[in-house]
Amino acid sequence: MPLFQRLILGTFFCGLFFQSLKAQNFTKDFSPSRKHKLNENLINEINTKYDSLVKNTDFPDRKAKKYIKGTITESKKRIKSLDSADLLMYTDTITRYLQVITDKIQKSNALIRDKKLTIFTYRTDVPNASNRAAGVIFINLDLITKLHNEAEMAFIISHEISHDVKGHVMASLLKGTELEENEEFRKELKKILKQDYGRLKAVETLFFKYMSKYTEHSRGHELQADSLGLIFYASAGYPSASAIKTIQILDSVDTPVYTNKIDYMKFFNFPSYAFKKSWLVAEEEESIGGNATAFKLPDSLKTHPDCKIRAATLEKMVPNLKFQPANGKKESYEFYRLDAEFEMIEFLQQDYELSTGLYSTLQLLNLYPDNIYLKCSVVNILYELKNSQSEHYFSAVTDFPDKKFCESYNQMLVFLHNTNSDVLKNLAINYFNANLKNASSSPFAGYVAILLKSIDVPQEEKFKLIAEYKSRYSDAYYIKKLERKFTPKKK
Amino acid sequence: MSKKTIIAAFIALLLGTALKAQTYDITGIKRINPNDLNAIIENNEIKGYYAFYFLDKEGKKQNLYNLAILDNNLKQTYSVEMKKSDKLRLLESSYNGERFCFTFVDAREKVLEYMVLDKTGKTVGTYTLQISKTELGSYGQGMTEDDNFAGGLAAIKNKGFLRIGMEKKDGMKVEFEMIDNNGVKKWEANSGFETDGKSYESANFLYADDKTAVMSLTTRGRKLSTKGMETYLSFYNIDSGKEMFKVDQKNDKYQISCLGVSYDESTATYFSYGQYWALADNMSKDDSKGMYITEIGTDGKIKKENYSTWTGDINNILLTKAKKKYEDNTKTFIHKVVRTADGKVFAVGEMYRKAVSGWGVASKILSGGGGGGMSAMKMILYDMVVFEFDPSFKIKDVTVVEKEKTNLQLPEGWGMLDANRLSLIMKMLGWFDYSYTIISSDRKQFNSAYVNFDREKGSSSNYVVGNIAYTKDQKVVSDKIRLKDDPTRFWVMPAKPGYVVIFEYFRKKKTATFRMEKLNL
Repeated sequence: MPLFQRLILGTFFCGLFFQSLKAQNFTKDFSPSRKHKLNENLINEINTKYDSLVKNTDFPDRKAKKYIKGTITESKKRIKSLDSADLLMYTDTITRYLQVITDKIQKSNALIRDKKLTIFTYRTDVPNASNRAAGVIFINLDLITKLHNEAEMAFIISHEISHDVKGHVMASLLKGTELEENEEFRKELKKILKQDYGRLKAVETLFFKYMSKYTEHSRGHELQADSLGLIFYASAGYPSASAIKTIQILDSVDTPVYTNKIDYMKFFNFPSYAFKKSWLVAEEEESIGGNATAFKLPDSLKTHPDCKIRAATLEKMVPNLKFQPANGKKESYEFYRLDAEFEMIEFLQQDYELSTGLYSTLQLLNLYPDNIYLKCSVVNILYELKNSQSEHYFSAVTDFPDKKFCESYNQMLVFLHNTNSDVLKNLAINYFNANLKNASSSPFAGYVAILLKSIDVPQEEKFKLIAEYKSRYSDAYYIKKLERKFTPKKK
Repeated sequence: MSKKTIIAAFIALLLGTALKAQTYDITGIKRINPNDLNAIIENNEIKGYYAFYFLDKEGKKQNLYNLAILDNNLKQTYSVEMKKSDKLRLLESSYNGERFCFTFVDAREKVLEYMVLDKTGKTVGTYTLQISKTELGSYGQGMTEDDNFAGGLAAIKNKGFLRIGMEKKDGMKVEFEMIDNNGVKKWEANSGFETDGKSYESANFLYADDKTAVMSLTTRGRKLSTKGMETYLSFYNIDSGKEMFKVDQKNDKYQISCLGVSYDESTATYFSYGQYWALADNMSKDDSKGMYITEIGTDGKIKKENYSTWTGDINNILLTKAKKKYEDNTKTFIHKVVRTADGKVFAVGEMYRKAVSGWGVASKILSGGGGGGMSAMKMILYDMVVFEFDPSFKIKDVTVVEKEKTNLQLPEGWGMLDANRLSLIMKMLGWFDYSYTIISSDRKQFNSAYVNFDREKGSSSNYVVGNIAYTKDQKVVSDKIRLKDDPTRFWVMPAKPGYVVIFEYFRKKKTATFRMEKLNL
């Protein structure tokens, strides 16, 4: 394509890109990504790449080929099923931004310049990223919220690209089959199974012996991906310090972004329904804590090396590479990080992770007190929690207080466990009346208003509520949700 | 063990079976023994749960077991592997705040083994002894679920465990042994009854703290006879095993049968409750006159007492509150009496009556009067009731919690027994819908649970787990959980106040799940 044409197209897409950036004004509202489904062509393209990966691999034997072919078929199905469950994002703002970072890394590295890489944002609360072979990379939504700048994300992407370049997924699969078909292992296992007793201990020792060989291989892959990733990363012009910092972040990636205590009186104290301080008082419980927490997986069985080892290895490489100094320009990453935080709240509601959903929502409301979407989420979560209590599936959607959680999240759990469906209903209604009565232009506000109206209403009346919503809003997502919610399940 | 099983067992070992708090899943199980999964209770308070399961054969006569101990949120806190004789069966567990004690029995050799573990799961001592055939037989009987006493062992706060055994000597004699926190016998004691010739003693453990153990001790001239029967509430010093004092269960008006005891630190009194009969009545055959509540001082003297009659005091208030009519011969079985921190007293009961069974009669006719293994009588269980008593122990209010009636076809020969005795047997066998009562450590709340078969259509499983609670807001409320799945077997297990633990076993899937659910109270 001629350069001029490319420039025109580039400017056009850039325009589209920055338009979508402006579309989100977090101080006022948030529009969750709804149209991020993969198209058939993309799925077919990925499938073709998986097939050619199998075709171009030298398998040691037919068994290994059969095993790997089966695994690849599963991977293809997995992508399709994740897409069907609306868990993969491709054409949305966040993923396009990740693709921009990926393009930047590719352009600066001749080795990967022509490689077809497909980045997806995977809607999950597990802070991780993964290479799925065939140039497919998943960046988990929660990980995006835990990083601080573009450079940190660039290191993650560089690391995953390196796995792909090195063919680590395929190598691991081959190693797995090697282990499965290992004659020595099979002989030893057969011998153990003939023993009259003490078999479990013997199998445990045998597995540890062979598994450590496999995990050693996997840990080697991680260090390789870190090293090659650092080269890609440095060539793309990112500063060395952020790479080391990223590894350190990974070490404590399970800690929530916000750990400030929530002011419940501020959110839930109403003139007609006063907040009871007793809701925040935890029951005194004696723990019979024992030895189970002391159990740690031996280092030899870990698939990833310790983060300290990884950081030290990278530090040794830094003097030999040419890095750009950290620039002072304002990062745009914060916008995408926030976008990911809002998307996480949407995901947590869709996935019925209600206690974490309410926690994240209230924490973000501290920053964006006028955000309509967050306010609607509070009502929606309280309504769903009310249902979970009256229908007795509360424990499936709410955590129990635990030492492993931060103090502020535990306080929220104490609050939720001290309430019942009546309290939650009253909180939802009063919160709506105090915060959302005048937000009638928001389809989400209209949706939660209908939910509140439906409480204690007979089934036949609920159909009328769907009609009422349709008469005022045309949002297909919420209409479908109401229809699903108010249609009695077949017995 | 097949290759698949052993690999699965290894993976389970590596990954652990606990998924997250609130649920605890065990996979690959073929059989389930109720004693292997149970609650750890200390003074009516839930401390946690345990699951004991076979891992591997470890020697010619030894098996390797795993003992998983979960906290009261179903989070696994211990995992202890142990080698035990393949003849041993786990009977029960106790926890005294410092130590766990697991009781194993070898039925063939008539040996009991008390294994004491510290808080890290390390065995600190084992006390083994030979037991009588009678005592062995008693472990096969039903166990009450809501006390810290299941078979024959009581947890003594931070000090050890009190064993109540039976010895065949001039009839049957009870014996007590205190096992300390290191699994060493500290003292032994007997009932203190002085009788000439043969006598048959029985002991019913009622309460223990770090100072005192309270038991109801009975002696009689003949087995199961009321002739020459004497019953005392005996209070033992926990450090020395000496009897401090005893309270005769017969006064100038009534004879009484104690069902429970607790201690109130604020008034330094023991609170006891049960049923009473007229002096001339036969306690095994005649209906009790009503229920009593007494307060006993630390000197053994009665400080306060009240006797409420079934026909007068209790029925009068019940009839005014009940929304439906009950048959005239409907009685109330008191399962538990609780005194809460606000000084109120609540009695949790279940209504029942003996009736003619159409099915039993038809079966008798069809089998030519032979009976066909069935009695012509049945027991019908009705609603749950919670009586509230004022501080002077006079009945004040009643809450009726309606449930579907349960018909219990009686086995052949049982129809001859009177309703009162039948109710006691049913209680021992766990045939009532009532499951347990649990009190919070601050005694501000309690929960009572029952299981009922709901005939409402549209559910895959018609079982309902009902719950009656006294909340922090000082209200008696109730809630019902309808089971959504259709398990092969299930149990309701005690949980901390406001929650219930449901154990479901699915035979086809070979899986079992402990699930903790919050009640909507």
